[in-house]
Amino acid sequence: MYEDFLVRTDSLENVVENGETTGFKFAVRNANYRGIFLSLVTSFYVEMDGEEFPIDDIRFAVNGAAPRSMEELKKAVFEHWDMQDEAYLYVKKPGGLEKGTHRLGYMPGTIDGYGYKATDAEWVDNPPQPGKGGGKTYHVCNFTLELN
Amino acid sequence: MEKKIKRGVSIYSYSGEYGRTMDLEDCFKDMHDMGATGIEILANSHIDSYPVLSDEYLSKWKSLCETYQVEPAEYGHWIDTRLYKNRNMTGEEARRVLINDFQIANALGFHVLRTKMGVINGELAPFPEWKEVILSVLDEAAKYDVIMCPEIHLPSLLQDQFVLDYVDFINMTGTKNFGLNIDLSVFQNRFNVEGVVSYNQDTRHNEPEDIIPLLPYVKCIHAKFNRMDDDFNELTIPYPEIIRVLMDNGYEGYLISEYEGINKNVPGYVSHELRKQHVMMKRILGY
Repeated sequence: MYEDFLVRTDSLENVVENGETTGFKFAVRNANYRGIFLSLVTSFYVEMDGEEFPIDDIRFAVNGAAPRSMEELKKAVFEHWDMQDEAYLYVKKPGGLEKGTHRLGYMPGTIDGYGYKATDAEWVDNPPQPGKGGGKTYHVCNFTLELN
Repeated sequence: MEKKIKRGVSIYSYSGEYGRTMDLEDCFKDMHDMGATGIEILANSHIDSYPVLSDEYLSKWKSLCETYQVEPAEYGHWIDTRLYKNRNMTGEEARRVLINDFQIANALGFHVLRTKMGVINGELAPFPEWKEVILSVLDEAAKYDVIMCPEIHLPSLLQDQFVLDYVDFINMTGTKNFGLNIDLSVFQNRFNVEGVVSYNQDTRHNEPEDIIPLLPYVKCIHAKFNRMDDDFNELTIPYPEIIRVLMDNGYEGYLISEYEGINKNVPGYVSHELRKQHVMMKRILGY
């Protein structure tokens, strides 16, 4: 039920740092009926135009802070990603994306369930691999984004 | 007739619209319109600045409760035991989170809390250290005048060992700050109904009278519903029998609606289903 508003489709932009285009970013929302503490955000599956991006190339920006890696998020145990708040995913891709239409496959991996599944305990030690589950979204969701 | 059983709404029900086509005030308006007098919020969902309570939110909250004649009925919060990398939460960390929630709940005017503890198996038994954690905050719960209530929810049954453990804990400690929230999903006896999503058609269920011995410990009831027909009947849970048992056995407290059916993100759909359910409950209650 949250699939249709996970990604804001007019939010795609290239990221320019120190005059150099280092990647792209887009706005995402929390795939759940509740906000969650940031350390429960563990992985993201991002596939753009058929290219998959490793989790080490993805950073997460929320609450006005600079983009953070998954390792940094793990330490944010008393900071919240509110249900209504957008965050930005920063994806490393030297040169960025071309102008025009892009196809995104996206799936968040969060450990915000309260333990229905055996995997929830397992994920404390080994966070879900991107695209392998987590949270309230159980499959990769597809979006068409326009870069102007 | 004295209205011992009251009708409320968990605004979790609106989660497909909340933050998109409805805001907090829209939830209050809708509840007022259907004659519901109590609200359940989920702290992590519906308090904008959580885990901090802002002055701005507090003043908006008070004004909404007064304008729409709705009282704080239940405060939903979590002990996210898997918050830390490579280890579970410690007792001291759980204590910190709990006391923070007690303070927020108290400021907003809540007394009953739905305390969601991390669970460890398919019957939803809580994490093993729950007793130590709860014991360590009983004094603060008393100070902030709140009652922590774990929710008993399908596929759990009312006689499951961990429910008995909760009751023993209350009796042994004599605490007035720990109780039970029963979700009516434990009575769901129909699963193969059109438009109802069910993960397991063979789920066990309780009979309505099974709740009687637990009633002294029950501080809140989640009026879970999945599907209403146009004649105001819920099609999966035996509401008339359950409410009759509650009335005959002196339950005093809220029936808080929790819609778990389809089309949650279709604007207006859940509001309509909630109205049908409240008409049903009014008719059975007789007021």
